[in-house]
Amino acid sequence: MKSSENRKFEEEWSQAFEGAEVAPSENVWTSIDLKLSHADSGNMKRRVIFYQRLAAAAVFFALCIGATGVWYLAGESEVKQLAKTAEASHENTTADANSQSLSSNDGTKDKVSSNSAESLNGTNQSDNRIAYRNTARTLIHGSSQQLAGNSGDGTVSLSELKSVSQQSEIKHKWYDVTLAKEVNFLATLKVNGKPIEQIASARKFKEVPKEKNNDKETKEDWWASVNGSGGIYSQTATSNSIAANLFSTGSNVNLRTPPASSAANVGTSYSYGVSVGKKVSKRWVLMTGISYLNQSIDYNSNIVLQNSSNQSKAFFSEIATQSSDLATTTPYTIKNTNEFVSLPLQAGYLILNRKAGIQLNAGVAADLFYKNTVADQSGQVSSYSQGAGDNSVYRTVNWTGLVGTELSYKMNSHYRIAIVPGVRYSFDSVLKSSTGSAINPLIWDVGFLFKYIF
Amino acid sequence: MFSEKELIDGCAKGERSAQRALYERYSGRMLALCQRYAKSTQEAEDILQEGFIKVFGSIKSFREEAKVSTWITRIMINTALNMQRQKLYLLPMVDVNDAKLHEEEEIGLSQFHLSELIKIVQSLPDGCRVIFNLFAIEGYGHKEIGEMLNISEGTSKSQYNRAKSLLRVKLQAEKKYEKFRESKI
Repeated sequence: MKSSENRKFEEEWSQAFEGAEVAPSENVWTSIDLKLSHADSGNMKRRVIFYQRLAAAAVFFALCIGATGVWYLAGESEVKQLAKTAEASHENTTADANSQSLSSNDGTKDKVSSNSAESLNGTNQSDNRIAYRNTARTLIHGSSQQLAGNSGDGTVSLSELKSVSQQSEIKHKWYDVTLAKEVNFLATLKVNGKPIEQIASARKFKEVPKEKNNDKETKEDWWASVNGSGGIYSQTATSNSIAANLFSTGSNVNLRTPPASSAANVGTSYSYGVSVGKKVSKRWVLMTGISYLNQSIDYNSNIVLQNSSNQSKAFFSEIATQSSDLATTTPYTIKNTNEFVSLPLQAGYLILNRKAGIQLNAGVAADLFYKNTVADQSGQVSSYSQGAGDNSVYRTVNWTGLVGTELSYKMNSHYRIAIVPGVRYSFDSVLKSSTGSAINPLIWDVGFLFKYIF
Repeated sequence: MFSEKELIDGCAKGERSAQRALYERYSGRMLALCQRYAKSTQEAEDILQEGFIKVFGSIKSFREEAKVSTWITRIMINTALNMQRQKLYLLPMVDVNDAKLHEEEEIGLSQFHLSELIKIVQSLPDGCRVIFNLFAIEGYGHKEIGEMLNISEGTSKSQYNRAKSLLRVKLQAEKKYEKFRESKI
């Protein structure tokens, strides 16, 4: 700081400006306000991008899990198919074998009845038996073949049976299933006068898990649900030429500055409703329902709508028409809320449908416009609202695309809960073309479903 | 009515009402300051706008070691200097030895309205005006001004001397000054 240089000249000037104030024009704050809003929007935009990427990553993750599930289930179903074929064949064979009273030939106590051996050879049996025998022989690595071969003379020794069992060290479960059934069948035979059941087997078979597939539990043919969702709302918008024209043409004396409105980058959205679903094939489901949809976003606006009695109502330039009686005001923040009744129709692909379920959904919704409300956040001017109809600037029906992933958990045979992250984008502008503006909402949301399975 | 602490906290949270209140509290004083650095009211409002954006952007870093008004003033001056920097490069480099300071004399500024004084200051050439403001009004020394503007101390002194001469001429041109002089004689 200066010291000795302080002289009268400087002191006089310093005093002359001490405490001086000059009122700035209102435009300065308007510009600051707009710049701050843009800065806020920028921050919010970065957050939105983050959440969008997070959602995309979640969908990608769900797809990976789904693909893994499909791959796993495809292998499982192949195994089950083989096991079912073997089981069906076995049941036929057992029935035939029993009918021939394999164990009734007591005359040859030390030997297995040659009739039974014959029945094993299947000379007089049905095609099913042949199929079964071939399958079983293959599955137990020829051990049955060995048994049958040895029984050519009508006898099978205990050591041979043990050998067969020992050779059947097969790791696959379905081998165990088949082998177990084979030995059950062999139990009807007698060796050295004793039932094979009584012979200590060299192999202990694992307990075959009881088939869980109860038709009633797995069908899920029809279901109904209540649902709700919440998410972030953003929009692509084009500016209004009508409001600008009203100013530039000077047709409205109350418009002293150009009408300017800027929407926040992000708003909120929520919905709730009911839906029903029908399984149309093993993997595909169709869903529909009805829900209430609410979308809101903040705007900065510098205009109000005046009615015939000069009462001001909250307004923004995008919804202005040629007949709008606008007036300029200091910038203020409004909340613009659109309400719809949504009728969705979606197709779902079941990637995984077990206790846990993964389903990819896509479809369209007819969003029927119900009401628009523009409310001043500070409460200084009254709210403005309009419904659907010819006089409304909002389109009555808006077509919206829906995409989502449903991650569910089956609580019991009748109830399933699910979360559904998804996206909905309006193909149409919610505003009529007569406004000169276009607003297409985009929503990223997470839904919750509580299903009742009939 | 917000307290200063509430204003700072509110602005740090990005509350628009607090930002507006802070602006309304200091904008008048700051515009008077900006007008001294600017060539016109429009330019002054640009500085004010830019300055307040910086204030709101960096208010989280305000440590309350100084008064808010001092802190905002500093930001406004820096903003004004940044906006004038291009012009300041054109400052003529005059050696200090060639610069001769005028003798003290009373100039009777109390006779002038604030807007008249602002107009007179605004009529100064860019370099002179900035240095006059920094030295005479804000109280910076020539060495500090030299560092702030990246010029020599001598240049600052010579520019200030020039500003004084010009101001004296401009004041003399005003009738009020003549009346003041006559009353002194």
